Amino acid sequence: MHGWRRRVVIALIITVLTAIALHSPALAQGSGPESEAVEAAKEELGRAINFAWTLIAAFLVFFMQAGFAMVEAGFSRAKNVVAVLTKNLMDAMIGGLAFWAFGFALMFGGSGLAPGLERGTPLIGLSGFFLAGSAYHDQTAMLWFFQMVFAATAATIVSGAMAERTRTTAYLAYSFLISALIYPIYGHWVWGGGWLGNLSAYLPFLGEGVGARDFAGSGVVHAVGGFVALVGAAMVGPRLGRFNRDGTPNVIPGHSLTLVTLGTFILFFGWFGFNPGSTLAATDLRIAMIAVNTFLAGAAGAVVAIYFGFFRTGQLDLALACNGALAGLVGITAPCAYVAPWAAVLIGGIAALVMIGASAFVERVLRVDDVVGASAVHGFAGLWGLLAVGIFADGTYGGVRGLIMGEWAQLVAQLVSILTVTAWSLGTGFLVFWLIRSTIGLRVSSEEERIGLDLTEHGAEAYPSGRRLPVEVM
Amino acid sequence: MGWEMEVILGGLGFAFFLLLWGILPHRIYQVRRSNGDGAISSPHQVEALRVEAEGVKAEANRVVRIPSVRSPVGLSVDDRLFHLRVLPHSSRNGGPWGVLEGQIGGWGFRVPVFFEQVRIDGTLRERYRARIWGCRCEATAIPDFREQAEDVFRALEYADRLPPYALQRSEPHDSALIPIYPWGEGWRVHEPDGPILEAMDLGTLRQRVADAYGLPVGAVQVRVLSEELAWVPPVAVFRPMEGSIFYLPVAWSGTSWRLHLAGAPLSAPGDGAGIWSLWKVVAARGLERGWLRVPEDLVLEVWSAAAWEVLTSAMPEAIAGLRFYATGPQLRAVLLPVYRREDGWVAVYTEEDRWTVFMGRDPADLRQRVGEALCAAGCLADPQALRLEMKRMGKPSHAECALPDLGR
Repeated sequence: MHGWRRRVVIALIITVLTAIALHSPALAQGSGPESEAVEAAKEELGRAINFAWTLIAAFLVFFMQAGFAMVEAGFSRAKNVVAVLTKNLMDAMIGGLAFWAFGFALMFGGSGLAPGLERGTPLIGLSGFFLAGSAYHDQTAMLWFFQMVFAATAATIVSGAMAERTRTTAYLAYSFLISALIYPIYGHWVWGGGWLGNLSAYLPFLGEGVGARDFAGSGVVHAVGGFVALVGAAMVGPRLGRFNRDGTPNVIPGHSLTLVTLGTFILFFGWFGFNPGSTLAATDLRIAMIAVNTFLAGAAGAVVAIYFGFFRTGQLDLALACNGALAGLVGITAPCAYVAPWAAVLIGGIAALVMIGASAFVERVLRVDDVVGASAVHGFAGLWGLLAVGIFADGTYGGVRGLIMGEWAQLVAQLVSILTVTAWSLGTGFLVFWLIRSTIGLRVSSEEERIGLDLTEHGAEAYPSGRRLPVEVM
Repeated sequence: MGWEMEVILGGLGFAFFLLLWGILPHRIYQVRRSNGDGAISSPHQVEALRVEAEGVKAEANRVVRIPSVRSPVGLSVDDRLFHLRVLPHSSRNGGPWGVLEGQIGGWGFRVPVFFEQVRIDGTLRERYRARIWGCRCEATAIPDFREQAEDVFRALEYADRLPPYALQRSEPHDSALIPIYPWGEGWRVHEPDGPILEAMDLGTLRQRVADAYGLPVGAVQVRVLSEELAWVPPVAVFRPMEGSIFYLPVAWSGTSWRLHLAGAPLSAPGDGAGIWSLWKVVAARGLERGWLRVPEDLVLEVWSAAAWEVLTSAMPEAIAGLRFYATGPQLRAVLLPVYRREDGWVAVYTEEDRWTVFMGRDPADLRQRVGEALCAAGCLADPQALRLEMKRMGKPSHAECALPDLGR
């Protein structure tokens, strides 16, 4: 027999024998210490896969920081790009450190989700500070890292709304406070074993096991960030030239829709870590449905937004489409695990409409200058996401059932969480910014704003400008 | 669900998406475009006023009528070609050596280019220079000059438009010029890294620009293009009796009066009759657009003594006067001469360097209008205090009470 043919035959024989061995009844059923070892090995493998999955998802969510940076830079003017990017970079760094020191403990102390998180109350967590003591554990570290990138996301939402006129030092102070206090305390109420997640213990009429559900953070991350952004933008005041004396708004175009679009795609990509990663387990195969729902909602949001703009103005507005996609993603973040794909499309489409209406409300009624529309995209669309859980949850995951299944209790729980997150974010945001404005000051001077924060606050230009042409005036 | 139902649902779904993304957008696009919605107005689309009578013409800005000869040197700005032509009898001592001509958005222009010999660093060098919309371009070599000119046009042009007006900021270390572009029937300012400011009238736009830059409105002044394409203060402005909607600066060069109305340039011969021709056209458009209730609501303010001299040359002798007594350290009589024209009665309120011309249907109407204007300015307590005297008494006197200053 020729050499190569012999090798093929041998390989085939080995393959067949291996297949028989693997499917041997003795192996399948197992008995005694060998099968226990296999089970233990499978469990350990599953645990490792879940660890890896959660961390990879967290890496994707961390990459969303780049997305936020691009979107905010694109919506800003060229003379303020360095300032915007600095705020984006540093709020992630400072926020991460603050979350390590205080935030994580306040948020998950008492949840028992990992070693070292045993102590806490329904209002606040009290263990896990600095990831020290018994919190110095691989599992706790994994949980911390995943939650830290969420905290950084909430913190960075605000920078876009307040761009182009906020003092960077003031913003860094805010970054610390939102990551150390505002975000973790509300997060504890929903995810950390707090009262909102166990609402039925305080409102028995809801029935057993009913509590506010926010699978990946429409409320905890986006609504908190969005409404703190609204307060911040209101307290820092509008940019020069944004509103006329009669209150009518003027458009201040950003310098690069290229960056906005790139940032939107990066955020969209990172959302596949944000939502599916919230299962904290790759062995939970629901991650597939969550990913599908995430995509469908984002796509529906973009389509509805661009259609709405086209119908209203006759033009296809790219910026509106990008914000529509983001609003859809925010809207599906809470219900992504609990709803069917058709509901995800509906949720995303409605989220875009909510975003459009909220943008108009913020600009024309509240007369707040939100540079990137963060309050509409994250705040109001986030509230819609919370509400959507109570409407569209179909009971196929986690036993969460909404109005379409004839259950009203979940809707009530979601309404409670909506009221709570709104009040908490607006109230604490107001306190924080009032404190900063009263002490170190919040806004740059008019002259600095006209020159541009890049030169005045950072001594650098993102796009070094050329010579100004001389103009003679007779 | 049986397979037949799935097929039907799939077909319906396909039809729905085909409608949603294939047909409906095109229909919406067609409807919007036919309604004129969503389209950026360009000078091509704005109705150009074509009043041939009385010497009022709508025409493109023109600097010098020079026949073109020889092959051009091309400037390329965003796929448009501008030509730099050397004149057949080009002058190297004072007169234009060549002309830079082209079109942007239907605006034809010809800019004279001068040649001179200057001493630079002790060496005699040739230099080409031109003033393009107030921007000085000069270079010792034609390729460098061409590059500068291209940069200027790139900076000046906005949405296929060139600015007919500008606002000058008077700040201690900066007298920057902010171009104003016609936008539909109104105006737009959009500086790099600045907000988009729009208004139907230049007075409101000026206020908004001042607010955006944190300046008092008096520190922002309107400038018009002279025939030499330099930015100069306007010699006059049309405005309504009340408010500042329909605020139109007027340029005058001796050969023509020029302004922009509803996105279209208007010009008339630069003599005294020309400004009255413009008045009629402006008033007619104002009535049409609802900016004026009656033609007599339009007021002309003249800010240049030379232009005033030319204007009065076309006016008959004053046959009456409006008199009031201005209070102050001394009681003094202020006399406004009244003239009779074929289309109405005219009164002139004279201040130190400003002449405000009011129109009225008849003497009583004129008296009422002037009285109300002076009352609003605080020069009169009661409009009835203004007396019409049919015989002219003495020379018109300069008033010390100023009417509202809208643009200087």
